[in-house]
Amino acid sequence: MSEEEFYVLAASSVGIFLFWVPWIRDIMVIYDRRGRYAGIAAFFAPFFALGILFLVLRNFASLDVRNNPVYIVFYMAFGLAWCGLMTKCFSFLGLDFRHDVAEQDNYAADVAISGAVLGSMLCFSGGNIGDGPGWWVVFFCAAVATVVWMLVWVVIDQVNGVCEAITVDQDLATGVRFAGFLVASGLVFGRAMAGNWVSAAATWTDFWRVSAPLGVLVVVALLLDRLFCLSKEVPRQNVFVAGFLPAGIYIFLSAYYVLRLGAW
Amino acid sequence: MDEQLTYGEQLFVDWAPDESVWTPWAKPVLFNSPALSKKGLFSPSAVEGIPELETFANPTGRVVIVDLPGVNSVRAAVTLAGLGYRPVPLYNGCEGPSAVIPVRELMDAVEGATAQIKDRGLSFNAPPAFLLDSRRMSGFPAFGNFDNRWLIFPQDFPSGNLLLSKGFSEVVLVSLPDGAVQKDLAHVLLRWKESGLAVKFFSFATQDALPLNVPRSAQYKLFFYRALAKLGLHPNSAGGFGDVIATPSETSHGGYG
Repeated sequence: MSEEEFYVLAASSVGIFLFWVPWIRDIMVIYDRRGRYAGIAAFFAPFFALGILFLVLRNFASLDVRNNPVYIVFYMAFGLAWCGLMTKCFSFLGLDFRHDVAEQDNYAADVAISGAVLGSMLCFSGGNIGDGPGWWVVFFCAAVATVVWMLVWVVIDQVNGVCEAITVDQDLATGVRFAGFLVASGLVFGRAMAGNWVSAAATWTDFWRVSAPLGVLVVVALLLDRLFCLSKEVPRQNVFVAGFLPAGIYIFLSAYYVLRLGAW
Repeated sequence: MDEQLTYGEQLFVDWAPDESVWTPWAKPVLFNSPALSKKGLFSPSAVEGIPELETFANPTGRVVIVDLPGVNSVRAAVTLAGLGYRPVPLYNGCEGPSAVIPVRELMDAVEGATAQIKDRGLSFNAPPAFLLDSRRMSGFPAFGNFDNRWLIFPQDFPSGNLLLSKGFSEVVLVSLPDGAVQKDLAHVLLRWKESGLAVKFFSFATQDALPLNVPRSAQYKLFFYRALAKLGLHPNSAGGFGDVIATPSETSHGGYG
C-alpha cells in the first residue's frame, strides 16, 4: 500500500466515524415513541450495502485487489465512507434520515433512505469492477455515477413530489416504490461504470451508452408516480400494489438488463 | 409497562396517549428533559386558560395551530382541551444551561396542565390543536450558549390529504399579533391551503375566525429547503434541537502570536 493510499484509508476511517456513528446513534438514542420501530431498515442497510461491495470486490475487481485482503479492506472502507458522505447529501435531496426516520418514526422514509443507501453503494461498487491504475479511478467513476444518479432522483422528485409523499404524507407504498427505483437505477449506473480503465473520455462515453436505456425506467417511474399520486380520497396507497409490485418490476428490469449486457 | 416510564415519559403519555391519532406527530423532546425525570423538582400549579378562546366551541372539522409565546401556548391548550380539542405538543427545543430560549417556565406550565388535559378524558380522535412556541427562533445565540432555537417543517404535521380524508375542512391559526404567520409555519399552511383546507386565523379583537392570507416564500417547495433551513441550528443528540455553541479554544492556533 502506497503512502497516498494510506492517507485515503485514514480519511475513509475518519469519514466512517463521522457519518456512520451518528447514524447508528440516532437510531439507538433518539427518544422513541413506543410501538414504532422505524429505523430497522436503515440500521441494516449499511451492512447490506457493505456486503454487496465485498461480493463485487471479491469477484469482479482487478486481480491485485480481489486476492489481497489489505486492498479489500481499503476499498470497503473507502466505499463505506463514500456511502456515508452520500447519506449527508440525501437531506439536500428531500430525505432527512435524522428528522424523518429517527425523530418522526416514518416507515416510508426508513425504506426509501435504505434504498438510497443501497443505490449509492451500487454506484460506488460499479467503479470497482475491472482493472484500473488506482483508487482515484474508483473515485472518478463513483463520483460520475452518483452525481447522475442523484440528478435522476431530483428529476423524479420534482415532477411528482415523491419525497413529499414519503416525508409529509408518510406513504409507505411511495417509499417502497422509490426505494426500488433508487436500487434499480444504482444497479444500472454501477454497471455503466464497470470495465477496464482506458481514459476519462472513454469512461464517460461508455457510461452514457450503457445507462441510456434507464431513460425508459425513468419514464415508467414518472408514469407510475402519477398513477399512484395521493389525494384526499386516497391519502395512503396500497403497499403491495403501489409499492412492492412496481419496486420489484424496476429491480427485475434493471437486473435483466445488466445480466443481458454480460461481462464488461 | 407504564411502571417503567420516567416521570417525564409519563407526562408525555398523558399528553399524547399511544391510542391518539395525533400522537405520531407529538414531540417528546421537552418531556425527555433531565429536569423532568423526577417528580417534585418543580412545583407545578394549575394553568389558567385563555377566556377569549372559549368562543372556539364546536371543533368539528376544524384543526387549530396555537403559535403563542411560551406559557400562553399551554394556556391556550387548557382552554381548547375544555372545548374538545386534543392538544398536540410540538415543542422541539431542549432545556440547557444559558439557553437562548428559556423553557423552564414552559416546562413548568406543561407539567402543571397535564392533569387538566388528562382529566378531560378527550377522545383519541378529537380534533387536534397543535402547540408551538412562537419564540422558537427568537434570541441571539453566542459562544457558550445552549442554542435551543428550533423550526418546524411540513414533515412535523399531518399532510393536508390526511386531514381532509379525516373530515377536516379548515385550519385556524391562533397567534399574536392576530394572524401573524412565522416563515416556517407558512410552508405548512400553504401546503394545506393547496390541498383544499380553508386557512383562517383567530382574531382576539373580534373573537372570530377570519380568512388568512399566507405569505409565500421564495423557498416554498424548494427540495433542499429543509436542509438549508437547518444550517446554523444545533440538533440535540437525544432528538430535537439544543446544544452548546462551542467556545473557540484560547489555545487554538487560529490566530497570531
